[in-house]
Amino acid sequence: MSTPPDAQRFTALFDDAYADLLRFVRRRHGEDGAEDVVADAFLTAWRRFDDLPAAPDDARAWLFGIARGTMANSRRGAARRAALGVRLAEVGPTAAESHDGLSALSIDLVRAWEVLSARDQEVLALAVLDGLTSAAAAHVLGTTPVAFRLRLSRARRRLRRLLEEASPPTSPPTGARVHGPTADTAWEATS
Amino acid sequence: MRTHDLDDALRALDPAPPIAGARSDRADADLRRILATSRSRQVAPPPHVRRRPLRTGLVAVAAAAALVVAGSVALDVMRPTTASATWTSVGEPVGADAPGVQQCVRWWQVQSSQLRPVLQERRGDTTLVLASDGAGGELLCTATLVPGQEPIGGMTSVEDTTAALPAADGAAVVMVETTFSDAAVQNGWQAHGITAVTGHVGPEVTGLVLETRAGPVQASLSEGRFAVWWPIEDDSDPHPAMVATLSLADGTTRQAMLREAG
Repeated sequence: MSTPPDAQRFTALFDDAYADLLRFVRRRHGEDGAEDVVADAFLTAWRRFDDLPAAPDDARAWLFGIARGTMANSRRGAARRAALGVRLAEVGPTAAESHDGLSALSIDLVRAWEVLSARDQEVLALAVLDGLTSAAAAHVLGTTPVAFRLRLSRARRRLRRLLEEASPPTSPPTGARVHGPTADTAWEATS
Repeated sequence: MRTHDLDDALRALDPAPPIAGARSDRADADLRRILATSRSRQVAPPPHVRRRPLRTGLVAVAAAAALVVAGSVALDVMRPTTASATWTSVGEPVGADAPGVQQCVRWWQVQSSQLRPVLQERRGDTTLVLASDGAGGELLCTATLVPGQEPIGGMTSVEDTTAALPAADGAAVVMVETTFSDAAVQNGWQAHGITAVTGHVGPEVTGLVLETRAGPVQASLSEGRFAVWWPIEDDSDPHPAMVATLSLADGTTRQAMLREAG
């Protein structure tokens, strides 16, 4: 039997995390059924409430991990093992016809993102779109922060490479130049 | 491109815009429903059914020929139970008045009163019931009854199952569901769960055994239908392909490959 303090704590967690969790799910699951996934994740969290980490960041990561598992559970067979790919927003035809540098970059980025593996999409999305720390993102994926940072730097490197291919140096779109390796590619040396 | 420039560009393409405002009506209803739910780690039947596309649920077992039927939908998911410890590879037929069957009837009456049990069996503490509404709609229910504990189980239903009819000496699968109990809290990859399969058998089929990671599992047959489930320990079960051995009325047996379509 639940006690009022548990219900109060859960309600606080619900109110604090609902919007972010819904966005987390929409990025991976799309709009349709996203609220169902969030409701299932919170229901699981309620049933496992004794396991709720005390630290707020850890609690949020725990909840995101539950939602990720809920989405993975809806898959079948081998697909269940796959990383959860993330879609970017669509770039409209107006942007496609624009010579604006930012629009050109967006178009190239969307194209490069679509070529990126679901695994790379997932680590980039956790860090950039979901705004999780390496420790929290690692918790969501069930890995270590060091391993997550390695995967993140590799994903960034691959995305940059794809952007380079989308924007050859001979005729780069304005504002879409791709520069050389940056510091985080040093992680490659650890592999 | 510097990292923060790349990150800014990605954030500008975030497909999920910020959500403003207080708790929505939907969120409020979900919260109230969740708080009214038992905190038991055992999974109770869902208080509502949710429609979702049936992406790969229609399969065929006849002569390795897969049948695919478009337009079918499944309702909700079969929830795994903790019944694996008492599971048996052969189901025991039970009557319509068996407690597990009656429990399933009480659960699904919330959804539909048109359903009629067509197959019911028990493996250990768990009773499985396959019900039909006579109009192509079906529901698979499991109920695990342990003295002194709250009944647990779940339901999966499929609409439009009529196109999965098999040959006289064949079998056609209507529904395959694999779900896990703890995957959500273990990030998906180490979990206990169940796989359940239902379908039709032709009039010459007297027995059906599936080769699974749990070993040979004998399906229960009734009124031209079959149903079977088995526990799975991790996420590496060999589906969607597995071997089925069909026993026929003339005393012979034949093998067929079960394949998930899609």
